[in-house]
Amino acid sequence: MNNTVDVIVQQKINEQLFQKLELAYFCVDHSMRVKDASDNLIDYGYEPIRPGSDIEDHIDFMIGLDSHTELDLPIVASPSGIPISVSLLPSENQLTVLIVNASTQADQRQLLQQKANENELLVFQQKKLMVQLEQASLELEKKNMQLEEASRLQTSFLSGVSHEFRTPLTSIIGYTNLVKQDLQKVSQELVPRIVGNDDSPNYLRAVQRSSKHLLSLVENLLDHGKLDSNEIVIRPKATNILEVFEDVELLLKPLSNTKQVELRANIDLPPKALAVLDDSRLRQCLINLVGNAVKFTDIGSVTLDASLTGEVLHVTVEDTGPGISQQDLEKIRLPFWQGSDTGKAGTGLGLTITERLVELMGGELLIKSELGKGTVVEFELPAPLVYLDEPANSLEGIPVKPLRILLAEDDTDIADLVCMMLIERGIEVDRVENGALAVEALKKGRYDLVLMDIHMPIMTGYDALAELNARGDTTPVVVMSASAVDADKAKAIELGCRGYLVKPVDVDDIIGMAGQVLS
Amino acid sequence: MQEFISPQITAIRERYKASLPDKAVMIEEQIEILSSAGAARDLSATHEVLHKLAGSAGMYGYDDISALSRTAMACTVEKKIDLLLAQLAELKSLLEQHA
Repeated sequence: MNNTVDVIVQQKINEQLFQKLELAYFCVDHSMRVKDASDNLIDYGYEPIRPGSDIEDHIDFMIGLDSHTELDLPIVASPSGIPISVSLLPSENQLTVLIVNASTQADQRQLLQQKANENELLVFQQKKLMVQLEQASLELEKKNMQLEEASRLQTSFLSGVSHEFRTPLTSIIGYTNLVKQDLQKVSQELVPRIVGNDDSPNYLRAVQRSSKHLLSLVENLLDHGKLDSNEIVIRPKATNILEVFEDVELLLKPLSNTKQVELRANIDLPPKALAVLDDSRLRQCLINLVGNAVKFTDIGSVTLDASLTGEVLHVTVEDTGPGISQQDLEKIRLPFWQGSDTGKAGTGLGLTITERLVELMGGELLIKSELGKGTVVEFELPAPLVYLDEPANSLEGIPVKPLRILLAEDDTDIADLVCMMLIERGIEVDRVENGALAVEALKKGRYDLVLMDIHMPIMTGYDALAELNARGDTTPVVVMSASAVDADKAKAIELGCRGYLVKPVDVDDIIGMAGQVLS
Repeated sequence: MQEFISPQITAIRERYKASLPDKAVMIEEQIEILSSAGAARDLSATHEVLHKLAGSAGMYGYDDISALSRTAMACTVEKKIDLLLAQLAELKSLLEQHA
C-alpha cells in the first residue's frame, strides 16, 4: 500500500468515525481564542463559531477551564439537549476539544442507575418486611405465651374447683346412702309419717343418681387437669385382664338393659393370664368407650371385642348408633366438645381423656364412623404376660431359689394379711415392726427384697432407707404406703427405693412389682 | 372367676372384720377429741389413725372405708375441721355398718 492510498484510507476511516460518533470539534490557542471549529457543532445546538473569537463566549462548559490540562468532562447536555462527552486534548500550540454524541452511554447509565435505584428500593422493602415479620413473630410468641398461661390458669381453676366439689359430693352420696338404708329399715307404711310423703325414696334415688353423675363429671375434670399438666402416672402391675373386661361388662349391662340395646362381649382372653398394665386406667378407658357407645345408641347393639396376639391386647368397641359425620370426627377428640345431641352430652372430656390414657399406656385410639352406620373405636396396648400357673419364684428375672422378702410394717392387720398371702405363693417372709428392726435384720440376713412401710414408730421407712444407703446395703426396697401424695413418692424414690406401691395392694401387685424390680 | 381363699386368709379377714367396732370407737374418740379441743387441737393423731385405716381397710376389701379415710386425711392436711368431723361421723357409721 503506497502513501497515497494510505492517506485516502485514513481519510475514509476518519469520515466513517466522524459520522458514526457524530464527532464535532474545535481548536483554541492557549488564550482561548478560536483557531478552528467543525461545522457540525450546530447539530448540537451551538451557534456558528468565528475564528479569533473567545471560546468562552460560545461554549459555556469551557468557562474557567485550563487550556494546558488534558481532561475528560463528565457527560453533559448540549444546548439542543443531546448528551455529549467532551475530551480536552492540549498540545504545545493549542487545545483541541472533541465532542461526541453520548446518547447511548447516557441511556445505559440511566438504565443502570434505574436498576440500582430499583434494587435499593427492593432492599429497603425487604428490610421493612423483615422488621414487620419480626414484629409479627414477637407478637405471635407473646400471644402464644398468653394463651398457654390462660390455658394453664383454666386447668388450674378447673382442678381446684373440681377438688373442692369432690369432697362434699362424697359426703352427699355417703349421707344419702345412710338415709336410704335407715328408710329401708322402717316399714313402708311408716315412711310417709317420717319423711312427709310416699315419694321420698324416689327423691333420694334421684339425689343419689344426680350426685353420682356429678361426681363422675368432677372426676373427668380432675383427670383432664392432671393429663394437661402431665400429672397422671401410669402404674402397670400384674393384672388379670379377663377380670377387667368382665367387670366392665357387668357394670354397663344394667345401662344397656334400660334401653333397647344389646351389649355383647366377645372376650377371647386366657383365663389365667396376667398382663402387666395399669388395670384401673384400662378399666376407665373401657368404661368411657363402652359407656359412650351405649349412651349414644338407642336401638341395636354394642359389641366389645378383646383378644391377645402375643403380648399385644386388641380392643374394639363397635356400635350400631347414629354414627358421626366426617366434619364432627375431626372435632370429637377436642376437649369439651359436645355433639349436637345435647341431651346425651356430659363434660365432653371422656374421649379426650381416653385417647390420652391409651397413648400413655403405649397405644393409639382409632375411630371409624359414618353417619347412619354406627361407630368403631379400637386400640392396641402392649401387654407383657405373666401366668398364674407358674410358681411365683420362677417369674422372669426372679431367682430360682425361693424368694425371700423382709416385710417392715407396724400395722399388724396389714402385716398378717400380706405375710399370709405371700407365704401361700411360696415366698419366704420375715417381718419386723419398724425401720430400725429392718436395718438390723438386713445386717444379719440376706433378702431378695424389702417391703417397707413409711409411717412406723422408732424409725420411719424414710430413715431406714437413708440408713441402708449410708451402710451401702443394696437390697432392693419397695415402699408400700397408704400415701398417694406425689411428694411422698418422690422422697422415697430420691432415697433409693426401687418401687412404690400405694395401699391397698394385693398379692399380685406385690409379685408384679417384685418381678419388675428383680428383672 | 371364683377366687379361692384359704382358711388362713379367711381367718385373718374375719379377725379384721371383728375389729371394725373397735375402729369405730377409735374414730368416735377422735371426734370427741377434735370437738372438745378448740383451737389448740392437734390433727396429727387423727391423721395417723386415718392413714392406717386407709391402708388396712382397702387391703381387706372395704374400699368405701379406705376411700373415705383418704378423703378425711385430706381434710386433716387442709385443716377443714367441720368437714373432717362430718367425714369422721360418716366413717364411724360405715365401720359400724360393716361390723
